Amino acid sequence: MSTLPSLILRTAVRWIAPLLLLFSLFLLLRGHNEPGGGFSGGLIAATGFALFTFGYSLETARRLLRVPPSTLVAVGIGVAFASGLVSLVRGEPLLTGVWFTLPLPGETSLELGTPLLFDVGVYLTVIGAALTMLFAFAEE
Amino acid sequence: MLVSLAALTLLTIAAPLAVSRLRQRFGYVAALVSLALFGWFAAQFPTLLRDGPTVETIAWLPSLGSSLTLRLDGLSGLFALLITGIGALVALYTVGYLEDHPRLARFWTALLLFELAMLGLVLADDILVLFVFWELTGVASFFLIGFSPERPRARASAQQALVVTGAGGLALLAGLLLWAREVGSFRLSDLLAADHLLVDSPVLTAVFVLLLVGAATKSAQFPFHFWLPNAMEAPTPVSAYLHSATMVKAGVYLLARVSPFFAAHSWWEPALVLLGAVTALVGAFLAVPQRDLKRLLAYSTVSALGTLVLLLGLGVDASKPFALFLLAHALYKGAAFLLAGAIEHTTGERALDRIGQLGKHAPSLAVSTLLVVLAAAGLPPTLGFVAKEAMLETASEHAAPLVTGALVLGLIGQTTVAWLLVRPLVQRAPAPHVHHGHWGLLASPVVLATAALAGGLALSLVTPIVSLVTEAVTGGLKTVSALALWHGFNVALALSAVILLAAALLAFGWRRWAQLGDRLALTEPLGERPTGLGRFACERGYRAGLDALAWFANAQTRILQNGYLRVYITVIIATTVVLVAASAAAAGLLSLETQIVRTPIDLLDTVLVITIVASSLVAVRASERLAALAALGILGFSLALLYARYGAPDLAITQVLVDTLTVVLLVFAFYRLPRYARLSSTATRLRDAGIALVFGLMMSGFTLLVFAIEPATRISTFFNEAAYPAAHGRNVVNTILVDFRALDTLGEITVLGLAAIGVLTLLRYGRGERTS
Repeated sequence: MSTLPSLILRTAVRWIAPLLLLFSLFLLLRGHNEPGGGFSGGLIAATGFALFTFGYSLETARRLLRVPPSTLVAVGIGVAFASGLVSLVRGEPLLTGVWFTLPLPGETSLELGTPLLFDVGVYLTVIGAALTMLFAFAEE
Repeated sequence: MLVSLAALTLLTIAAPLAVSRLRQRFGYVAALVSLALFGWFAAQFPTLLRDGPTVETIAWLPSLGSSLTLRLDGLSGLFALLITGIGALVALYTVGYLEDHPRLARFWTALLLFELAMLGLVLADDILVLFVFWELTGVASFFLIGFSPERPRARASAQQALVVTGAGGLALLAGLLLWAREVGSFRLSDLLAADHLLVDSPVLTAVFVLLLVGAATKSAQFPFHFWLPNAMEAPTPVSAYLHSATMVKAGVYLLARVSPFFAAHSWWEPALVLLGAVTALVGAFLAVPQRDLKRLLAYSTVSALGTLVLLLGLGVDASKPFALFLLAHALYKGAAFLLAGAIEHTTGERALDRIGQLGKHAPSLAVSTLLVVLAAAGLPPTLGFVAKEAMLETASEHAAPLVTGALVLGLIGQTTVAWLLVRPLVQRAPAPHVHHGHWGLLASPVVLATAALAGGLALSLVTPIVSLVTEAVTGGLKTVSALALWHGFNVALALSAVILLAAALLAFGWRRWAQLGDRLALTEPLGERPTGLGRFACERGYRAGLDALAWFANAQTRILQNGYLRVYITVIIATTVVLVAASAAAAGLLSLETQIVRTPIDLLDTVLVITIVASSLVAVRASERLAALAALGILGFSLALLYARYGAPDLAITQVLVDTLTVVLLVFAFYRLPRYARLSSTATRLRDAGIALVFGLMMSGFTLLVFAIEPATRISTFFNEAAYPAAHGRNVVNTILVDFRALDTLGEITVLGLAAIGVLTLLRYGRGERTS
């Protein structure tokens, strides 16, 4: 975009985009029990970077992402697939959820499992795919 | 076995990183890993002899009936030994051959991928696993043939090999699936154990033909043999490893593997004997006049592959010579290729008539060459000699004279090629500029040739392997008595002597054959305008096929992919309406009594519905793009509210987000879009409105129908009950996505990634094309 983005937009983006990224992580992590998940989380995170593209420039957004979005796609699919391989070690079918419980101080404990890893893969793929398209459009 | 595949997988994945650190020294690592695997497989043979085949299995996709089952018997064991053993030597050789090549990382990744795939292919006992590995070998071969993409011929040859073997792969897939459907199992050992009396049924005949096509393309049988000489564009270690010792034998392996079942088919013997004999003859005929060392060896490989298929066709009697020749050929032809590469590396020449006096200027190379010639010509006491004797003995006792004649002629051609390797040592040619290379360049072919030599002397070691292979090929018959180097004066020995002598004469007068080959245009790759015998080359059929394919693709693209988005949408929606309506009518759904569920409608519902209807009307009628966009946004958010209200929060979130991102994308694309004008006539718009209305009505009707059908159990009940105990989650939608149906999700994100790459390609590279 050739025109200089407005100051209001830039200031707003600086506050909103990090919140969006945090919120996307929140959605990703709660997804297994409450509405949310890797797909919606990924879309929110992509929106966060899209805002940077509006408020600042494509270069800023690319720099903040650090890696090319297409790499994220590859890593995401790889993570999702790798999470499915874990169960093979235990002699169970591909993509069977493997869970273990992490005891935490106090009365609580945390259940972690490969489906969470799988969802992280979905999350990364969605961010990568959305941003690959978005950056390609924004390039001019 | 699984561990060996896992080790190779890890090495393949680690290769790009490790190569950037170790450079050519990575070859030593790869050689050591292959050598360790070789040792492991060799150590399995006593167990195989004592307890029979071993099976390892992992439930891969039990719900689809496929499992990662590996089975090690004599046949797969021999192949595993060849793959890992020659793999180790080739790795060592590559250190000296490619030295510090800039694309070393790509080479190693593809080569290790091949080793992994080939090992998986011969170990697989599940036909889906077998097929996946089969195709992977083709993919690896594609990258390796096209290793120097700056050469147009390398690109064309890589594509040709991929297309030919890939087309055969499709036939194989069809055959395997048909077979599995007929018998009801994906396990190869179950399929082979099925009732032999049914083998002549039409379905199994089709399976046989399809498998034969798959095997013939992979193993370069006539008329698909042309891709193999062209594949010589690959670096020499690749030619030695993939295109002579292992990958091209995958088709032979497949035929040997299914022979316990299909050998009972009435077409088996005529089809295989004819195919093998023609290939052996064509290969031999085309090999002798070649000037290029690698093309010479490639055609001789074609001839040898034909011989192997012919032997399989002869059935139980020929299983011993088959096993012997399989082993002997892999050893001596691998050695010959590696040696040819060493000669090229040392002298910088690959044309047979331009290399000479190696005996004087490169004595160590010359000694190695003599050793390889000894093994390749099948002189006593090498394994090649034993194999040839066994072959000729079986043929003269059990086969028709015509078949024996074809076998002998094929062997004469192959032996001539072996003798021709002597020419660079003695013939007069300008003295070569000798460039001394890495020790692996000579050590690898010498080790292989020595193995072929030692195999003939230590037949007591070879006998158990051969008997295990014949057991696998014949389906359990133990036929092999002790092997012997000396059979006394008999027909086979006489034929053997005739072959050696005739081949020596041919090799002696080779220049005349090469000149004849030049006149008939046989010695060069097929040109754009074929001359001589090139006019009748099978490769022309391939080219015509590709042209026809391109023509068909053009024609159907003009019709189906016309570039008008509105036409696509119209076609998709109209087709959906017709298909759904037709199948609903066929299933008798239209006559069902529909109970319209009356739910109380409150103010919010009313408002939302009115907003949805109104905003869609606005979007259609808007005269400005921005207004249309805003209306669409309102439509999307109202829908999301409706979802949220009726208990689908995940759907609502996704709808909101997708709508937001759509708007963001449109903002970016906004300045590139053309003027927002009304382009279609009123009649067209009315027609489109009609289609849209019908589609809407159909969907509404469909939704109402859902209430009319009362299934015994609702799927939502299952998921509600199973989500927490089975998938440790309370969000049913999410547990479905990441657990119950995770494989679907994996497929979907892969599609998503591909779509993104597609968009990127269209936007980035489509632009350049339009301006030019």
